[in-house]
Amino acid sequence: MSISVLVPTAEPGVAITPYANRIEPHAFAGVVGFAANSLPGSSDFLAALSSHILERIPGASAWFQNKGETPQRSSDPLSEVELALMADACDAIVLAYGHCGSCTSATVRDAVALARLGCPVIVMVIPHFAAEAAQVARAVGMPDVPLLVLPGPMTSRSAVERVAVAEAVVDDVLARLAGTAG
Amino acid sequence: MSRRPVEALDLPDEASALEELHRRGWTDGLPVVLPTPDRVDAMVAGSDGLDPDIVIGTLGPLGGEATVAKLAINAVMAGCLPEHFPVVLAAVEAIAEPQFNLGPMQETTHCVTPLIVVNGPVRDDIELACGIGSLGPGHRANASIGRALRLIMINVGGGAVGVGDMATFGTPAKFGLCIGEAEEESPFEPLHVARGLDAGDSAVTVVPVEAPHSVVFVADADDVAGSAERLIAMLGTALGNVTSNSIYFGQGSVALLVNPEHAGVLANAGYDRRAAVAAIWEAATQPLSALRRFNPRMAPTGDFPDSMLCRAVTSVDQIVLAVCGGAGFYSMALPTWAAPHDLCLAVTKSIRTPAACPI
Repeated sequence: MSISVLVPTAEPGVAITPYANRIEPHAFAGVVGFAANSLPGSSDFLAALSSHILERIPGASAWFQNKGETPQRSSDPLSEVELALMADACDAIVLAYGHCGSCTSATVRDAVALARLGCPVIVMVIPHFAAEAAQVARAVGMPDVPLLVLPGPMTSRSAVERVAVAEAVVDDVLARLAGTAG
Repeated sequence: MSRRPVEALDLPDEASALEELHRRGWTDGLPVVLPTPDRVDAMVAGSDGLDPDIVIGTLGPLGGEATVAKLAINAVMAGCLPEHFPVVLAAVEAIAEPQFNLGPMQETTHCVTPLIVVNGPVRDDIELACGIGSLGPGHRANASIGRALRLIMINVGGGAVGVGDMATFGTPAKFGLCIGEAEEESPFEPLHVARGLDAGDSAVTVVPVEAPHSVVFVADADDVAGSAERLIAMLGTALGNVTSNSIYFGQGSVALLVNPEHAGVLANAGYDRRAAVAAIWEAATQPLSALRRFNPRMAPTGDFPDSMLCRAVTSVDQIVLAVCGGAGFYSMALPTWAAPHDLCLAVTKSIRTPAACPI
């Protein structure tokens, strides 16, 4: 005899807001923000990435922020004041990196909050936390926020290795700023 | 049943239905009671008249809407009886509060999980264990209620392993942690009274914690004051050990499950609940030098002296002490994840039982 069972899952209550970046690197003459989330190596990695990006976008300038010197703040979302300052200072922001469960969540939420303030964003995560980042993006109503999956863990890499990763992903970053990534 | 459409799966038989629930990732890995419409209706009835479409809260990280109907489905799956359901509802109310910080708590790589402490008359009504082995197997109400909260966190909160639950190892405690306070054995006022409710109320206090760590202590009846001091030092040391997050972050609530004999050691030396917790808080410290020695990349940075004391929690109110368990030398310390600032705090909620409802 057949049996009927009820579905135990629920859907997010937040409606979806479409999102897409449309920055033309050749015509861009604004400020690119590089927001580190205080995890080990995140600010060094973004500093290396910024130099590659400025080479590719001659009209751009860089702006840096780190949540803290130790990882204690990596799970804290940015405050409204911090978000407003960042959105005001920057014409696009790259955030890095989602490298643990709670810091991935906070970084994605920060990115979506900045996007809602009108600032183009990209969020970087390591592969282990990509599925989580996608769920968080959906949960807060912006599933299309651009995620860039880095090639493996970053905190255990040396400084030289992090610089190499920055060089390896710069084209992907530019593609996501332009909205042309697949 | 719900006026909102609740999606159903029609399957050939019970065995295939159970396999389908496992396949979709809707279980905790153990067999569940199949949530048929009749069983779910009976569970909703246990809420004493709540509309099944009422949203009790929004649960992270997914932000799923926790309607009474969805919670009832998960409670059925966990093996709850309808009379357990009011406790489940109160626990969900608690974890849905922003200060509990459920979303990031589910997402962290740390092994934090909710501990439910139940107070008040409902303990007897549903035969909730407070004494010997009450965190272990063999107690239906404790096991079912704790399990229901976990299934709800998975299915409504989006806490599937690898997507919304990123714990590096997880912990057996994630299958469920529910215990009653042994109020009748305790020399202290009940926990829910200390947290502002009336003694006649039934309540849950939900605390985000690690799995319990045992704290062994043997008192000396000929040294009442010294015994209490040493027990306090032991409990504080367990909360402030250098291997747990708490001492590095100092945030969030932690828990102590103190057995009645140990509680008696404290009471005999003149400590009431508040004084005991305050003394334990003083003892839950490490010098900064210890943090710098063991874990320098986690230690606070700055020009601080090695002798500076770091605290497992920044305020006395972050320690939740419940008297429970059986006889013996062991109490339990439960440090916490503690990462986000001013969050991951214990929440107490009244349980709306049929007897408590005036209508």
